[in-house]
Amino acid sequence: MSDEHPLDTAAPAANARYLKFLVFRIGDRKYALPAEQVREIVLDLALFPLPFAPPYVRGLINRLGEPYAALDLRLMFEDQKLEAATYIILSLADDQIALLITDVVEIVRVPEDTVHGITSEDTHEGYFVGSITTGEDEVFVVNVRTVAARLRNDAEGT
Amino acid sequence: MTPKGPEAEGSQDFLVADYGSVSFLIRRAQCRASVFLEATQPLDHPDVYLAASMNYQGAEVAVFDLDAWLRDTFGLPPSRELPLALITDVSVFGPANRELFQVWARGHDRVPCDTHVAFRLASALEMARLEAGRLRPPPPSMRSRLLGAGILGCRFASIGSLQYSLDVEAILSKALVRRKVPDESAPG
Repeated sequence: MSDEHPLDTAAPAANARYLKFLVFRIGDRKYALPAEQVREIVLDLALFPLPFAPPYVRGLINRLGEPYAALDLRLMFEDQKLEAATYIILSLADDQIALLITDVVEIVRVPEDTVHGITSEDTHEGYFVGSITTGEDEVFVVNVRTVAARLRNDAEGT
Repeated sequence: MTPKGPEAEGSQDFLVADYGSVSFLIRRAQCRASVFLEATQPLDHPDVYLAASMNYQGAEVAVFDLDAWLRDTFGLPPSRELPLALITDVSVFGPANRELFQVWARGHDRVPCDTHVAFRLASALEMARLEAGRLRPPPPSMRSRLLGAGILGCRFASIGSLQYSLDVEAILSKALVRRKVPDESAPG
């Protein structure tokens, strides 16, 4: 892992540095996460009630005895409930969060210099840290720090 | 049910209230007794969860409807179990929460007892001994909110089953802080 870029997980080629991303779908939209922020993908976990959580928290799931808050980003971003049963367990040093997703699309390695910064003002208030291009699609990279910060803030307000 | 074996270091006895896929752990030290809840009387200044009193050993004791609190808080379906009352001696409360309860109790004509409070439950109860390390704190982003509400941690007891650990002192105190003060609107 590079000291220069927190997203770097791949060995560089001769002159280029590569970053690895997990591309996944929520409904019909694609999103990406830096690979090092993904602990695992799990299917069909029992969902338990988690009180005092904002509506986009669908409940609590069990991963190896540890409780994770299961977030529905579609509810958070678009106010539409996602019907799905696949979870990305995030690898965060200071929180236990899982994301409900429709499915995993692929794992990609992209040159670091093709990761674009977010310039548009209509990208959900910092929920994306940048975008990558896979095939013909521009895929937003979810900023899990902002998502976790919103959860923390909203939970205090419930 | 009495737990067997020697008292394990760092372990505690809990009452387990079973609500199906979710159950609740209440520290045994917070409960003096459990009795069937046969008859209650409405309080003169009812609150959402503190609306009734019961007779316990000749004293009229306020009843906190923990069953309703759990169903409202966790979105659980109604139960057909016979209601029980857990009797708590408020001397086990911290000084501030004890005083909060006693001030509240003295404001009610029908609750002369300011030393005990009952928690209504409608579930089967068991006793279990657990090591402290078996309980996991809530996810960090939710931790502060849940601890403040009296939900201390959780434990996945088996596949498809979750246990939440509750602090009934904190739950009661939170309700008392939110309560309508009985004499607030009284003239003079």
